[in-house]
Amino acid sequence: MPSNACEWRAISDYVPTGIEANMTKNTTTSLDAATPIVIVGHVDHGKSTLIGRLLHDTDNLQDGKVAQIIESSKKRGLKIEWSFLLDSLQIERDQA
Amino acid sequence: MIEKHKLQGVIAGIRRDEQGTRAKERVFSPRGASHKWDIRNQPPEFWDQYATPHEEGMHIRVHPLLSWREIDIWRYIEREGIPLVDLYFAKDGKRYRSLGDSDITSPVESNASTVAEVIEELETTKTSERAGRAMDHESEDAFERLRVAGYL
Repeated sequence: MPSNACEWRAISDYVPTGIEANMTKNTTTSLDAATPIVIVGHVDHGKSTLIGRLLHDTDNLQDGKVAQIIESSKKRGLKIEWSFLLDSLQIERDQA
Repeated sequence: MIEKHKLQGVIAGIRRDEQGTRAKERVFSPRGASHKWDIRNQPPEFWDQYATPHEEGMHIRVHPLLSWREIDIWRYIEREGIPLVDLYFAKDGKRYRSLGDSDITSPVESNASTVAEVIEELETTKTSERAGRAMDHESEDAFERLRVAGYL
């Protein structure tokens, strides 16, 4: 554990170590095989759009989610804005 | 209650996977004097390092379960044998996946009547956890407006 300034604490300082270790073991089964992916890009160059489209193409969206973003896109004069799957806040959507 | 007892911290069980607006939350989320959530001015939490500022009149919402998923909660319930209200278990083909005020919460179709069956259902379901919560579906930003105003 690195030494931290007093106003900064790692969450592990707040959770009993035993519990944390057990939780990680028992609650991330389906994440064990996950591959972390980092998307890097310039602002407004399509990071969220790419991730949104990947979520759709890999069948990882809940029922009705695509219909929801199509409706939100239409409201803003757009056909379908895949980034709305990630940009859920009004300030994020209104700058699309 | 926060004002009455001058609370500096409130622990809440919200999770990122519940709803898009909650996905934008921080583990340590500062709230201003009127409990407002300033979405545009949230502290970064890289490498699980959390800011705990303290100024007069503000409080911090602490969200320790933010990164848990719905299924993590159920696996924890199963492992610890935690008792819960039977509204979460299916009766006549329906159960509640999320509980709110009774007039705006409806059950979803399900045959899961035990913790193990709920876990099995969640492993494959495509229905949103909050599908039965009417307040989320009123308008696109209904939930965001509630949270900015201080809703837990």
